Amino acid sequence: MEYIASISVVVIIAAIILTGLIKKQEVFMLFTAGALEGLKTTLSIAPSIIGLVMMVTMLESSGLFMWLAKVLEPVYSAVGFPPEVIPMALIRPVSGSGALAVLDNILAQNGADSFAGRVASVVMGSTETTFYTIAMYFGSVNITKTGCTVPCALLADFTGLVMSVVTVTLFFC
Amino acid sequence: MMNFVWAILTLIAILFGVLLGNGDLVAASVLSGGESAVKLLLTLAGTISIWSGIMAIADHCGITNGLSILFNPILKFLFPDHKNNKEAMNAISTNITANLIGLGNAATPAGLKAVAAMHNGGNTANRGMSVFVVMNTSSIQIVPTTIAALRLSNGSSSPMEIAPCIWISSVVALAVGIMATKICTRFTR
Repeated sequence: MEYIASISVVVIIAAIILTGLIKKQEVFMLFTAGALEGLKTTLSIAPSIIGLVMMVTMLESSGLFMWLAKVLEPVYSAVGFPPEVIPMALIRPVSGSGALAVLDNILAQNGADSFAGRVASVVMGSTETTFYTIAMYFGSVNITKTGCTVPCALLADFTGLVMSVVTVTLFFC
Repeated sequence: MMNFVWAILTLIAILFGVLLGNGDLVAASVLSGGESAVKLLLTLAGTISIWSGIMAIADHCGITNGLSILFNPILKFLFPDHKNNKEAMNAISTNITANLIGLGNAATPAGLKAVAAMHNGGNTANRGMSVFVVMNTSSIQIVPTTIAALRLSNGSSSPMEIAPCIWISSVVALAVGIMATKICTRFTR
Protein backbone atom coordinates (compact mmCIF):
# COMPACT_ATOMS: atom_id res chain seq x y z
CA MET A 1 0.00 0.00 0.00
CA GLU A 2 2.78 2.41 1.02
CA TYR A 3 4.63 1.41 -2.14
CA ILE A 4 1.68 2.01 -4.47
CA ALA A 5 1.02 5.39 -2.84
CA SER A 6 4.62 6.51 -3.26
CA ILE A 7 5.04 5.39 -6.87
CA SER A 8 1.75 7.02 -7.88
CA VAL A 9 3.52 10.39 -7.58
CA VAL A 10 6.21 9.56 -10.13
CA VAL A 11 3.69 7.86 -12.43
CA ILE A 12 1.67 11.10 -12.53
CA ILE A 13 4.81 13.17 -13.22
CA ALA A 14 5.83 10.77 -16.01
CA ALA A 15 2.36 10.94 -17.56
CA ILE A 16 2.37 14.75 -17.57
CA ILE A 17 5.87 15.00 -19.10
CA LEU A 18 5.03 12.37 -21.74
CA THR A 19 1.85 14.23 -22.71
CA GLY A 20 3.94 17.39 -23.03
CA LEU A 21 6.41 15.66 -25.33
CA ILE A 22 3.65 14.14 -27.46
CA LYS A 23 2.03 17.57 -27.84
CA LYS A 24 5.46 18.98 -28.82
CA GLN A 25 5.68 21.44 -25.92
CA GLU A 26 8.94 22.91 -24.63
CA VAL A 27 8.59 20.99 -21.38
CA PHE A 28 11.72 22.23 -19.61
CA MET A 29 10.98 25.89 -20.42
CA LEU A 30 7.43 25.42 -19.10
CA PHE A 31 8.77 23.71 -15.97
CA THR A 32 11.23 26.50 -15.13
CA ALA A 33 8.62 29.21 -15.77
CA GLY A 34 6.25 27.38 -13.40
CA ALA A 35 8.98 26.84 -10.81
CA LEU A 36 9.74 30.59 -10.81
CA GLU A 37 6.05 31.25 -10.14
CA GLY A 38 6.29 28.71 -7.31
CA LEU A 39 9.20 30.52 -5.70
CA LYS A 40 7.31 33.83 -5.89
CA THR A 41 4.29 32.10 -4.34
CA THR A 42 6.40 30.76 -1.48
CA LEU A 43 7.71 34.26 -0.81
CA SER A 44 4.17 35.65 -0.75
CA ILE A 45 3.05 33.16 1.93
CA ALA A 46 6.29 33.45 3.99
CA PRO A 47 5.26 36.35 6.30
CA SER A 48 1.99 34.73 7.38
CA ILE A 49 3.66 31.33 7.88
CA ILE A 50 6.36 32.90 10.10
CA GLY A 51 3.76 34.74 12.17
CA LEU A 52 1.62 31.65 12.55
CA VAL A 53 4.40 29.21 13.40
CA MET A 54 5.71 31.62 16.03
CA MET A 55 2.24 31.79 17.64
CA VAL A 56 1.74 28.00 17.49
CA THR A 57 5.15 27.18 18.99
CA MET A 58 4.44 29.61 21.83
CA LEU A 59 1.02 28.03 22.43
CA GLU A 60 2.50 24.52 22.48
CA SER A 61 5.23 25.40 24.97
CA SER A 62 2.86 27.36 27.25
CA GLY A 63 1.24 24.11 28.47
CA LEU A 64 -2.20 25.52 27.64
CA PHE A 65 -3.38 22.46 25.69
CA MET A 66 -2.67 20.01 28.52
CA TRP A 67 -4.28 22.37 31.05
CA LEU A 68 -7.39 22.84 28.88
CA ALA A 69 -7.61 19.08 28.31
CA LYS A 70 -7.75 18.57 32.08
CA VAL A 71 -10.34 21.34 32.62
CA LEU A 72 -12.59 20.18 29.78
CA GLU A 73 -12.46 16.49 30.69
CA PRO A 74 -15.85 16.36 32.52
CA VAL A 75 -17.58 18.12 29.62
CA TYR A 76 -16.20 15.75 27.00
CA SER A 77 -16.75 12.62 29.12
CA ALA A 78 -20.39 13.62 29.61
CA VAL A 79 -21.00 13.49 25.83
CA GLY A 80 -19.09 10.21 25.37
CA PHE A 81 -15.92 11.69 23.86
CA PRO A 82 -12.87 9.68 25.03
CA PRO A 83 -10.87 11.98 27.37
CA GLU A 84 -7.54 10.67 26.03
CA VAL A 85 -8.32 12.27 22.66
CA ILE A 86 -9.00 15.80 24.03
CA PRO A 87 -5.40 17.15 23.66
CA MET A 88 -5.48 15.94 20.06
CA ALA A 89 -8.80 17.68 19.33
CA LEU A 90 -7.42 20.95 20.75
CA ILE A 91 -4.09 20.89 18.95
CA ARG A 92 -5.30 19.60 15.54
CA PRO A 93 -6.55 22.95 14.10
CA VAL A 94 -3.27 24.76 14.82
CA SER A 95 -0.49 22.22 14.32
CA GLY A 96 -0.33 19.19 12.02
CA SER A 97 3.02 17.89 13.30
CA GLY A 98 1.95 18.52 16.90
CA ALA A 99 -1.25 16.54 16.35
CA LEU A 100 0.73 13.68 14.78
CA ALA A 101 2.98 13.54 17.86
CA VAL A 102 -0.07 13.49 20.16
CA LEU A 103 -1.66 10.74 18.02
CA ASP A 104 1.48 8.61 18.30
CA ASN A 105 1.39 9.08 22.07
CA ILE A 106 -2.32 8.15 22.32
CA LEU A 107 -1.76 5.00 20.20
CA ALA A 108 1.22 3.98 22.35
CA GLN A 109 -0.60 4.61 25.68
CA ASN A 110 -4.01 3.10 24.84
CA GLY A 111 -3.24 0.69 22.00
CA ALA A 112 -3.93 1.36 18.33
CA ASP A 113 -7.06 -0.83 18.31
CA SER A 114 -8.63 0.66 21.47
CA PHE A 115 -11.68 2.95 21.26
CA ALA A 116 -9.56 6.04 22.03
CA GLY A 117 -6.88 4.94 19.55
CA ARG A 118 -9.40 4.49 16.75
CA VAL A 119 -11.21 7.77 17.47
CA ALA A 120 -7.89 9.66 17.54
CA SER A 121 -6.89 8.10 14.18
CA VAL A 122 -10.21 9.12 12.60
CA VAL A 123 -9.95 12.66 14.05
CA MET A 124 -6.47 12.96 12.53
CA GLY A 125 -7.71 11.81 9.11
CA SER A 126 -10.96 13.73 8.89
CA THR A 127 -9.89 17.18 10.11
CA GLU A 128 -7.23 19.60 8.88
CA THR A 129 -4.72 22.14 10.16
CA THR A 130 -7.42 24.80 9.83
CA PHE A 131 -5.63 27.95 11.00
CA TYR A 132 -2.53 27.18 8.97
CA THR A 133 -4.60 26.65 5.81
CA ILE A 134 -6.60 29.85 6.33
CA ALA A 135 -3.49 31.95 7.11
CA MET A 136 -1.61 30.58 4.12
CA TYR A 137 -4.36 31.07 1.50
CA PHE A 138 -5.55 34.47 2.70
CA GLY A 139 -2.03 35.67 3.56
CA SER A 140 -0.93 35.03 -0.03
CA VAL A 141 -3.33 37.70 -1.33
CA ASN A 142 -3.27 40.00 1.74
CA ILE A 143 -6.81 39.31 2.89
CA THR A 144 -7.46 40.27 6.51
CA LYS A 145 -11.28 40.37 6.56
CA THR A 146 -12.03 36.65 6.28
CA GLY A 147 -15.77 36.96 6.94
CA CYS A 148 -17.44 33.57 7.32
CA THR A 149 -14.33 31.47 6.83
CA VAL A 150 -13.00 30.95 10.38
CA PRO A 151 -16.32 30.10 12.12
CA CYS A 152 -17.45 27.85 9.25
CA ALA A 153 -14.09 26.02 9.09
CA LEU A 154 -14.21 25.47 12.86
CA LEU A 155 -17.79 24.19 12.57
CA ALA A 156 -16.54 21.68 9.96
CA ASP A 157 -13.74 20.61 12.35
CA PHE A 158 -16.23 20.19 15.20
CA THR A 159 -18.47 18.09 12.91
CA GLY A 160 -15.41 15.95 12.13
CA LEU A 161 -14.83 15.39 15.87
CA VAL A 162 -18.44 14.37 16.53
CA MET A 163 -18.54 12.13 13.46
CA SER A 164 -15.30 10.41 14.51
CA VAL A 165 -16.92 9.21 17.74
CA VAL A 166 -20.18 8.32 15.93
CA THR A 167 -18.53 6.32 13.11
CA VAL A 168 -16.10 4.44 15.39
CA THR A 169 -19.02 3.55 17.69
CA LEU A 170 -21.10 2.32 14.71
CA PHE A 171 -18.31 0.36 13.04
CA PHE A 172 -16.47 -1.17 15.99
CA CYS A 173 -18.72 -1.31 19.07
CA MET B 1 -10.72 37.95 11.97
CA MET B 2 -7.16 36.66 11.44
CA ASN B 3 -5.83 39.82 13.14
CA PHE B 4 -7.97 39.04 16.13
CA VAL B 5 -7.25 35.29 16.22
CA TRP B 6 -3.49 35.76 15.90
CA ALA B 7 -3.23 38.52 18.52
CA ILE B 8 -5.49 36.78 21.06
CA LEU B 9 -3.79 33.37 20.72
CA THR B 10 -0.31 34.92 21.04
CA LEU B 11 -1.38 36.85 24.16
CA ILE B 12 -3.04 33.73 25.62
CA ALA B 13 0.18 31.75 25.06
CA ILE B 14 2.18 34.38 26.98
CA LEU B 15 -0.38 34.74 29.77
CA PHE B 16 -0.86 30.99 30.34
CA GLY B 17 2.85 30.30 29.92
CA VAL B 18 3.60 32.67 32.79
CA LEU B 19 0.66 31.47 34.93
CA LEU B 20 1.44 27.77 34.45
CA GLY B 21 5.13 28.31 35.19
CA ASN B 22 6.25 27.75 31.61
CA GLY B 23 7.20 31.39 30.94
CA ASP B 24 10.84 30.52 30.18
CA LEU B 25 9.77 27.86 27.66
CA VAL B 26 7.44 30.33 25.93
CA ALA B 27 10.23 32.94 25.77
CA ALA B 28 12.60 30.40 24.23
CA SER B 29 9.97 29.28 21.71
CA VAL B 30 9.59 32.79 20.22
CA LEU B 31 12.89 32.50 18.39
CA SER B 32 12.83 28.73 17.85
CA GLY B 33 9.41 29.30 16.26
CA GLY B 34 11.01 31.66 13.75
CA GLU B 35 13.65 29.09 12.99
CA SER B 36 11.19 26.26 12.42
CA ALA B 37 9.06 28.58 10.26
CA VAL B 38 12.00 29.24 7.94
CA LYS B 39 12.84 25.53 7.80
CA LEU B 40 9.22 24.81 6.89
CA LEU B 41 9.37 27.52 4.20
CA LEU B 42 12.51 25.99 2.68
CA THR B 43 10.77 22.62 2.40
CA LEU B 44 7.67 24.33 1.01
CA ALA B 45 9.75 26.33 -1.50
CA GLY B 46 11.05 23.07 -2.95
CA THR B 47 7.75 21.21 -3.18
CA ILE B 48 5.72 24.24 -4.30
CA SER B 49 8.24 25.13 -7.06
CA ILE B 50 8.47 21.58 -8.34
CA TRP B 51 4.71 21.07 -8.44
CA SER B 52 4.16 24.52 -9.99
CA GLY B 53 6.64 23.51 -12.70
CA ILE B 54 4.95 20.15 -13.35
CA MET B 55 1.54 21.85 -13.31
CA ALA B 56 2.70 24.45 -15.84
CA ILE B 57 3.38 21.59 -18.25
CA ALA B 58 -0.02 20.03 -17.47
CA ASP B 59 -1.69 23.43 -18.05
CA HIS B 60 -0.16 23.83 -21.50
CA CYS B 61 -1.13 20.29 -22.55
CA GLY B 62 -4.79 20.89 -21.69
CA ILE B 63 -4.76 18.36 -18.82
CA THR B 64 -6.03 20.81 -16.18
CA ASN B 65 -8.62 22.05 -18.67
CA GLY B 66 -9.86 18.48 -19.05
CA LEU B 67 -10.12 18.12 -15.28
CA SER B 68 -12.19 21.29 -14.98
CA ILE B 69 -14.64 20.01 -17.63
CA LEU B 70 -14.95 16.83 -15.53
CA PHE B 71 -15.65 18.80 -12.33
CA ASN B 72 -17.77 21.46 -14.05
CA PRO B 73 -21.19 20.43 -12.59
CA ILE B 74 -19.91 20.53 -8.98
CA LEU B 75 -17.88 23.72 -9.54
CA LYS B 76 -20.88 25.58 -11.02
CA PHE B 77 -22.82 24.86 -7.83
CA LEU B 78 -19.94 25.67 -5.44
CA PHE B 79 -18.57 28.75 -7.19
CA PRO B 80 -21.42 30.42 -9.13
CA ASP B 81 -19.63 33.82 -9.06
CA HIS B 82 -16.52 32.42 -10.74
CA LYS B 83 -17.97 29.89 -13.22
CA ASN B 84 -16.72 31.90 -16.22
CA ASN B 85 -13.27 32.43 -14.69
CA LYS B 86 -11.32 29.77 -16.60
CA GLU B 87 -8.07 30.22 -14.66
CA ALA B 88 -9.79 29.82 -11.29
CA MET B 89 -11.84 26.81 -12.43
CA ASN B 90 -8.73 25.03 -13.77
CA ALA B 91 -6.76 25.69 -10.58
CA ILE B 92 -9.64 24.56 -8.32
CA SER B 93 -10.03 21.32 -10.33
CA THR B 94 -6.31 20.59 -10.00
CA ASN B 95 -6.47 21.34 -6.26
CA ILE B 96 -9.44 18.96 -5.74
CA THR B 97 -7.78 16.19 -7.78
CA ALA B 98 -4.48 16.50 -5.90
CA ASN B 99 -6.27 16.46 -2.53
CA LEU B 100 -8.32 13.38 -3.46
CA ILE B 101 -5.28 11.34 -4.50
CA GLY B 102 -3.37 12.43 -1.41
CA LEU B 103 -0.85 14.77 -3.06
CA GLY B 104 -1.09 17.59 -0.51
CA ASN B 105 2.13 19.12 -1.85
CA ALA B 106 0.65 19.47 -5.31
CA ALA B 107 -2.68 20.73 -3.97
CA THR B 108 -1.10 23.76 -2.27
CA PRO B 109 0.32 25.59 -5.34
CA ALA B 110 -2.88 24.94 -7.31
CA GLY B 111 -4.92 26.24 -4.37
CA LEU B 112 -2.82 29.39 -4.06
CA LYS B 113 -3.32 29.98 -7.79
CA ALA B 114 -7.08 29.51 -7.41
CA VAL B 115 -7.28 32.02 -4.55
CA ALA B 116 -5.22 34.56 -6.54
CA ALA B 117 -7.51 34.08 -9.58
CA MET B 118 -10.66 34.60 -7.50
CA HIS B 119 -9.21 37.63 -5.69
CA ASN B 120 -10.73 40.86 -7.00
CA GLY B 121 -8.67 43.37 -5.05
CA GLY B 122 -9.21 44.68 -1.55
CA ASN B 123 -8.67 42.96 1.78
CA THR B 124 -12.06 41.24 2.10
CA ALA B 125 -12.64 37.59 1.24
CA ASN B 126 -15.37 37.05 -1.36
CA ARG B 127 -17.88 34.18 -1.42
CA GLY B 128 -15.87 31.91 -3.70
CA MET B 129 -12.69 32.33 -1.68
CA SER B 130 -14.46 31.51 1.59
CA VAL B 131 -16.03 28.34 0.19
CA PHE B 132 -12.70 27.29 -1.34
CA VAL B 133 -10.66 27.80 1.84
CA VAL B 134 -13.26 25.99 3.98
CA MET B 135 -13.13 23.11 1.45
CA ASN B 136 -9.38 22.94 1.93
CA THR B 137 -9.67 22.93 5.73
CA SER B 138 -11.74 19.73 5.57
CA SER B 139 -10.36 17.86 2.60
CA ILE B 140 -10.95 14.16 2.00
CA GLN B 141 -8.13 11.62 2.27
CA ILE B 142 -8.83 8.41 0.38
CA VAL B 143 -5.76 6.46 1.54
CA PRO B 144 -4.61 7.67 4.99
CA THR B 145 -1.01 6.42 4.64
CA THR B 146 0.63 8.40 7.47
CA ILE B 147 -2.01 7.42 10.01
CA ALA B 148 -1.93 3.77 8.93
CA ALA B 149 1.87 3.73 9.28
CA LEU B 150 1.62 5.15 12.82
CA ARG B 151 -1.05 2.59 13.74
CA LEU B 152 1.07 -0.23 12.35
CA SER B 153 4.12 0.88 14.34
CA ASN B 154 1.95 0.91 17.48
CA GLY B 155 0.86 -2.70 16.96
CA SER B 156 -2.50 -2.38 15.21
CA SER B 157 -3.75 -5.69 13.82
CA SER B 158 -5.47 -3.87 10.93
CA PRO B 159 -4.04 -0.37 10.41
CA MET B 160 -6.33 0.56 7.47
CA GLU B 161 -9.60 -0.53 9.15
CA ILE B 162 -10.37 3.08 10.15
CA ALA B 163 -10.42 4.32 6.51
CA PRO B 164 -14.23 4.03 6.05
CA CYS B 165 -14.77 6.00 9.30
CA ILE B 166 -12.41 8.69 7.97
CA TRP B 167 -14.28 8.87 4.63
CA ILE B 168 -17.71 9.22 6.26
CA SER B 169 -16.50 11.74 8.87
CA SER B 170 -14.72 13.92 6.33
CA VAL B 171 -17.58 13.87 3.82
CA VAL B 172 -20.06 14.94 6.52
CA ALA B 173 -17.64 17.59 7.88
CA LEU B 174 -17.01 18.89 4.36
CA ALA B 175 -20.74 19.07 3.57
CA VAL B 176 -21.49 20.88 6.85
CA GLY B 177 -18.60 23.32 6.22
CA ILE B 178 -19.72 24.13 2.67
CA MET B 179 -23.41 24.51 3.58
CA ALA B 180 -22.52 26.74 6.55
CA THR B 181 -20.31 28.94 4.37
CA LYS B 182 -23.00 29.19 1.68
CA ILE B 183 -25.64 30.20 4.24
CA CYS B 184 -23.29 32.53 6.15
CA THR B 185 -22.07 34.40 3.05
CA ARG B 186 -25.65 34.88 1.89
CA PHE B 187 -26.52 36.73 5.09
CA THR B 188 -23.37 38.85 5.40
CA ARG B 189 -23.39 40.27 1.91
